[in-house]
Amino acid sequence: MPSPMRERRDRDDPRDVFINCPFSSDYQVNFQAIVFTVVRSGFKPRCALETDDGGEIRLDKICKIIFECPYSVHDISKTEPDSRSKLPRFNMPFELGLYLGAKRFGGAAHRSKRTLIFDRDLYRYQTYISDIAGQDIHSHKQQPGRLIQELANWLRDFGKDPKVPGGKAIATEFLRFRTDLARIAAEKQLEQSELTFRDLAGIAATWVVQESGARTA
Amino acid sequence: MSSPKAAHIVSSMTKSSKSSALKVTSSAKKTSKVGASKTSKAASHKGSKVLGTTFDGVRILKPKGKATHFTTGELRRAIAHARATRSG
Repeated sequence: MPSPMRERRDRDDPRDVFINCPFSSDYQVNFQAIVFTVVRSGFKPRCALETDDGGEIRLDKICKIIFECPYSVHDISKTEPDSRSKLPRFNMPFELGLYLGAKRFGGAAHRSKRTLIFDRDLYRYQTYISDIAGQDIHSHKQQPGRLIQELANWLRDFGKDPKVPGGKAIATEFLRFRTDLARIAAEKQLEQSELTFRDLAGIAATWVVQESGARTA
Repeated sequence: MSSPKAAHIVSSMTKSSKSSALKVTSSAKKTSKVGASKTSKAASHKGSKVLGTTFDGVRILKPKGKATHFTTGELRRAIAHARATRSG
């Protein structure tokens, strides 16, 4: 008889990707690029913003998502102090640490968790978080196109789905998506910054399906 | 896992697992048309609902939770309208 832990793992969705990226306006395009690439590669984006339950403790919410996600993408490149508080934000490295902790101490069910870490430059992290040396660290140089290519290649490797297109093709699709996104938001008299994570994930998935259908017609 | 209480927990988890598997099987029989793309005959993929299949065969999974500001119909129409505007 399999252990309860094993059974629970089997029921979990094996294609959920935990996205740990700054939500600030200067990272809006990066965030959209990650969500789009995850969706286009046949995975499911998950994020701390997916529920709006004020009664739920934020840390509990994050731990629940980490528990359910066998894959994770972390952008730890925002190290600058906040313009108002003059202090840096530590949420990204903290959530990366939680995920690595789940992988290390979560038992057999979580040992196979996969992590992709982005920084601006390849070895910059060594000056501010050297403990993560040896992890899978990639550089996006603050270029969404490069971020998409790196992430798409990584997901294709782990998704074992040869049908997933290359990163350059996904980056080209993302440019069209971005053009349409502003119009889609405007349909509901919304700014792009007012779209929630659930809006963005829903728009990305439906857009990919419609766009794809149009190209096969 | 030798105590009666532990055995009960394992037993209830097994039942729960079976019932969730049944739910997935029943939802897998449903097919839905989304946009203009072809839809997957198997409407689930490893426990996730499939929203549609792209021209290159990638199964696009239904995101967790519904959109906040759009109904499903509004989403489809807004996207179709934006795409039509782009292509002129």
